[in-house]
Amino acid sequence: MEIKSAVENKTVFIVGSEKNAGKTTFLNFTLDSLRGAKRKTRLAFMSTGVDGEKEDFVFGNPKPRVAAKKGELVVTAQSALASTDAGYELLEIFPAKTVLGRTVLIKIVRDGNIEIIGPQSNAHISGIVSALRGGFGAETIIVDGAASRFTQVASADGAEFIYVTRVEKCRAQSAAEALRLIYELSRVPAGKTPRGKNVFRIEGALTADKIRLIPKETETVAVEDCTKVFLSLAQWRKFAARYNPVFDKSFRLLFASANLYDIAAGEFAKLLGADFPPDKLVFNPYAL
Amino acid sequence: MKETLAFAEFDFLLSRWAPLTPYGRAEKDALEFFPDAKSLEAEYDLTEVFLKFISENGARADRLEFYLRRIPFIDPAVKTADCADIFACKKFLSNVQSVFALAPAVKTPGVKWKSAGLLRTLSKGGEGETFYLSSAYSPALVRAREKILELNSALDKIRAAKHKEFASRHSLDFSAREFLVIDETRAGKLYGNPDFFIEPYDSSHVTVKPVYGRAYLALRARRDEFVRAEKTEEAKILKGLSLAIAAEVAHISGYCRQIARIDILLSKARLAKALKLSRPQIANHGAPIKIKKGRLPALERRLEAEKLRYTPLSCALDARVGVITGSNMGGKTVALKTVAGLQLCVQYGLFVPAESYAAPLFDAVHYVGAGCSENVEGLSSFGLELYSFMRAWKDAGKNCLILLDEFARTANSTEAAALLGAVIESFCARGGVYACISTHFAGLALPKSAQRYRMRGFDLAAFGKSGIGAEDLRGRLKLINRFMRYELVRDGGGAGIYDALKVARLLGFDEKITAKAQSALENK
Repeated sequence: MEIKSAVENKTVFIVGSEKNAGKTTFLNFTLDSLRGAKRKTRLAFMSTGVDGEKEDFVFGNPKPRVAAKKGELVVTAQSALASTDAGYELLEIFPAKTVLGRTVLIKIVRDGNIEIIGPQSNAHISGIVSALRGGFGAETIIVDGAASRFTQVASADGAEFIYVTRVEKCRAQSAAEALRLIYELSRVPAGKTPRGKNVFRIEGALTADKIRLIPKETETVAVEDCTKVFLSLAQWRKFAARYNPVFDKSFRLLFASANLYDIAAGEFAKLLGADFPPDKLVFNPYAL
Repeated sequence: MKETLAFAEFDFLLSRWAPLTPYGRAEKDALEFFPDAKSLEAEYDLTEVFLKFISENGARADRLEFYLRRIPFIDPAVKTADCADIFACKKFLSNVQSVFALAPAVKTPGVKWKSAGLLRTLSKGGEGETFYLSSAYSPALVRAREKILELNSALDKIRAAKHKEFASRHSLDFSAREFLVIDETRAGKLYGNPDFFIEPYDSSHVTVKPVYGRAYLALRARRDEFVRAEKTEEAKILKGLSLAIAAEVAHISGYCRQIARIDILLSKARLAKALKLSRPQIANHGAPIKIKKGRLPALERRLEAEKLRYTPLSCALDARVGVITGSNMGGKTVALKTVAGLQLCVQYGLFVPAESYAAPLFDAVHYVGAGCSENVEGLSSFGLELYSFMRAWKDAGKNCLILLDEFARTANSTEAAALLGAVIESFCARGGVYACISTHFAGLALPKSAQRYRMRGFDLAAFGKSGIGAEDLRGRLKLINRFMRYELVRDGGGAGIYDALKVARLLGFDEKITAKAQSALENK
């Protein structure tokens, strides 16, 4: 799959299965793929946490730096400006404040590396994405999302997401089930909830206990969005076989990127099932 | 005041009064009473100037709003401005300049645009709202940046040459990747090669990172030196700009005040236009409150949505203390709400929802009645009402307007009437107090200086002629709305108001019970 054509002119969130799943490395690869294109897209990128710092704040692991190239738009915290070696012009200060200062939008005027730090609240992310696409003319927006924070994807209209997962042999089955569940949830129809006596709305989380409370005659079950589903893959499949689930908000998986450790691509693909579409899966783009 | 605002449904107006700048919003949120007629008249004069401006210069007014919207909040008191503060200051000044050029003249003492020089200084990196710490600020910055670019280019060249070499010699393409993950057997040939840094990935793969050599590292170190020099020079320039801003802090504070004024006046004018508000007349203390077609916009809108008739309020409350009686559902409370809303508009310097409104200015406007929101533990609804009254009474030494809606409604009627009578007498005795009091006690003896009013009530004759009936509650409410005369008239007293039974019938109350009540009333 060509990453560039998959993400170009879209708002794409990169969501990790866990800390250190390889999100920021994938972000760098995505940015480089876009930069290598003949027709340059007006590129903007941001984070919903801290990325590009030298060490992971939580685990202390060395972290990849984020490179920024001339002409690109970068949203980050004001504190990151002191340590960047990139040249920049300040375009805007957003109302969102992070623990590391005000959120600013800069245009890169000289290549360099930068730490990207962004707000976590969905409302702020949504406001910034709208401003980037509106007044500042960004065509492609890449958001380095926080680990396992899928709700952020719903904060930007029409956004899609890339799921980056770390697959170790000993945990391959659970990683496959998690990815498979995300894929199946992303296929649930979304939009206006149908009305009628056979429609039942789940308020809040969809759990195994709540499924037991659904009236017998129910055909369609409405849930706010996929982040409210707290079921295992097996429970979800049983639920989806019995009812027609619908979500209020859409949740579109662009593809998943699996970073494999001690497991072959074919073996992991087998765990995902024969019907898992090949265009929804890429393997570590750094692996030869 | 919160209770009076809630009673008058003032949120309807406040939510539509929309200043566009942080300064205007702060002034609006402070909701300060106008202290005297002179400053209020001056405010109204300026509101009229802005009304004329938006009527006659629509496009210019839109441009003015565009620039107002873009004005960021800056804290003029910040001693050392950083890059983001300087950006905000430049954006502020750039838009303030445009606002001053477009807005009608508003005189704020001591405020004049004097920052063209500062704006030019902040704009060396480019005009407009953005901020760039341009090389134009310092020759040292020019040198550092030229060197960085030169070294960046040299580093790029080394990297590109190395990538080419690695691709042709080892089939390893690092052009879009900082590292590669390869099979350990394939990596075997690379071990010991100083061009690569290799570390384990998993049990059968390794991570290979390119090593660009000593020359590359030396250039990088040189580049880092120039980046540090650049940062040092930037810090010096930022300090200088920060001092330049600090030197104009008095002007900037003045611009903030001026922007707040322009924003407030423009938003008041927009509100007046949108809700068809008119300029009120400020009367001397002691003069009557005169209302012609006064409206309660929130209610007007609700009735419009329900396709029900709305009757504006017209009356002259020519005594300081007015007591309003009338039918149930006859509009007593709405009349009080309308007076409260109109007076609050005046006190806050807004035009009023009325064809005309004349009233004195007060130091406070109090409402006492149902829904007094503050919850004081242990107090019954009567206790809360008394508590609310006592707070209003504290202000009775000043010029204040007190609105009493069905005071003591939960006390027994004999005591309630006695209490209310005493309250009315006390109000009459206090020269500063204006009071509007709605009550069911039509027979209350009033002091000479108080005036009695009543809502005109249900028009039984018109209803009888119409022959219209209704089955459901909604239909019955429509009937009441249609035949109730929501007009406030002077009342000589003595005439009983017997609309409660009519209303009960209209609402579909049990006919036998109603008839029994009617008969008891007639036999009394």
